[in-house]
Amino acid sequence: MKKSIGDNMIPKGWSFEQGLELVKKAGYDGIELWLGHVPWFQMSTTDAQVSELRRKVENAGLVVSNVSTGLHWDTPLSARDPKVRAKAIRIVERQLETAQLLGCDAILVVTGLVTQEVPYNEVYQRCLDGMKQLAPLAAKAQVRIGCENCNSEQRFLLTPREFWTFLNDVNSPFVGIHLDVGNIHDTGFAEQWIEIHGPRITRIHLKDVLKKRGRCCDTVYTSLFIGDNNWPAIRAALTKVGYDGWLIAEMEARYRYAHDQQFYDTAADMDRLVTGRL
Amino acid sequence: MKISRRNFLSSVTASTGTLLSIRLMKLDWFDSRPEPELHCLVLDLQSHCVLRESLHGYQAALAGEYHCRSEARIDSRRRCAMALVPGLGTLDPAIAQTLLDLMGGGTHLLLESGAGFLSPAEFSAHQRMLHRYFDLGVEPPIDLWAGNSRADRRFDHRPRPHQRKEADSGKSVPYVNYLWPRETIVRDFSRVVPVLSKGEDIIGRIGPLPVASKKRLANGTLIFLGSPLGPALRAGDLEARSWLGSVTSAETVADFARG
Repeated sequence: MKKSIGDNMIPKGWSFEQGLELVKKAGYDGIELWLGHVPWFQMSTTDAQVSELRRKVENAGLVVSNVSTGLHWDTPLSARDPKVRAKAIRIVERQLETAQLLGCDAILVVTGLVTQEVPYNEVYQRCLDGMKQLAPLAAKAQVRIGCENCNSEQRFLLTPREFWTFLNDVNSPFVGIHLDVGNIHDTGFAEQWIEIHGPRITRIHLKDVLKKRGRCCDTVYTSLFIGDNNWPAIRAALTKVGYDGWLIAEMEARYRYAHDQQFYDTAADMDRLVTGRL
Repeated sequence: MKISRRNFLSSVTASTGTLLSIRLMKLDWFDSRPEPELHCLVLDLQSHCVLRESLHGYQAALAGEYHCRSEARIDSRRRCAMALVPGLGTLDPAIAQTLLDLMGGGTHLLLESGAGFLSPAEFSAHQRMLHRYFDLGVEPPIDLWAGNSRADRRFDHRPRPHQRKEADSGKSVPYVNYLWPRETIVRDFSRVVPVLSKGEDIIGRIGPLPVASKKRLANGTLIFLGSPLGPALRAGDLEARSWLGSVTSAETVADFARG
């Protein structure tokens, strides 16, 4: 398995090049690029500029593990306004285009948002429509769309079997699950999600989570091994399904001081997970 | 009784000829009849349908019990009991006239406004068109979730606790209460187009706000929905499907005919 970390973790005020140097030095193999979250990678970034990002990544001795985005929290595929949905589709298309330019074969998409206003059944149908529309584009680009399980925040596809049914309904090998083992909270067990989805897992986000909500003032997410995830079980499940792809650190809780230290500490934690020294 | 071979053959020939004539007459009669009346027609107005999911919702809900026509294939000479226009944005005069011609022929027309998410300029055109061709007054769309949904929708990648608190603030869902043809409660569609109609013409409200109406127009009945039903139909909403079933039922259409 290879280690990656998001460029949205690069401390504010640092340049992309400085960030790449840190990522490499900390021992990662690749970097996850977040479309719309960092100054160097926006929807307005041209193809030439994206190619330049790839050159910088490769010059640093890294590769791009995947292209992610959080833009769909504001512009969801499940919006009632057709214009918003069209924008959401365009974001995914741009992810697919840039993934090709960056030489990677997976993107992360937050599929839909169930809210008080937009109910579950509408969200399911629109997300299905959206993914069916995007799957042929993904196939053409040879880039897999990983729908992220943002269980509690999305209030959508809350169980692994429900997620499985959704992927069956989409029915494309180019649409799978970008599994975040920290997003399952107290609604289940990450290791069971891994077992159920196996080959449909496009990438894995790593973070730990506190299941007893409210113990932490800002977030229930925390650094690896200090939350409530069962890491030996997660590691065993990865072996069981033969997952040998990218593990990507997504630390929601950031160090308040010594920001660069979090890169080193997380890389060391990930090494322990990969080698099974738990 | 004895019968000669000659007489037998001539009788048989005559009988056959008569039967054949009757049969041909019947065929002629069948052929000269007008095409059978369509019960339910779903009109796909292409670019004028601004909520495509709504169109798909009506098609899914009516299953095989409808015919679908695109705007290029609407034939106002074809008899049709009821025509449905989902997700209407704006109309060009030719299509509006065709719809009026359909109503002139006795078709009852359900117009579902899809104007809630249009730009102000587009909505003005929608408003003018409804007034000009259907003598129907509507007001600019109202965002039923203003001030409540924003915090729910705009996550900063992950929601912070205070955002979730706002999102789950307990504000009631603004359901549409249909009063006709049967009392039914259906989910809102975030933005509604209020209708300006006489009290007896109102068939649906959200709270005190009139959002659906029906009235006689030409030789048919015009049903106007200011809150789209199609997305709920597409999502399989049982009450929405049941309400549509009542509107398109033979009994309701017969009631229309009785005025």
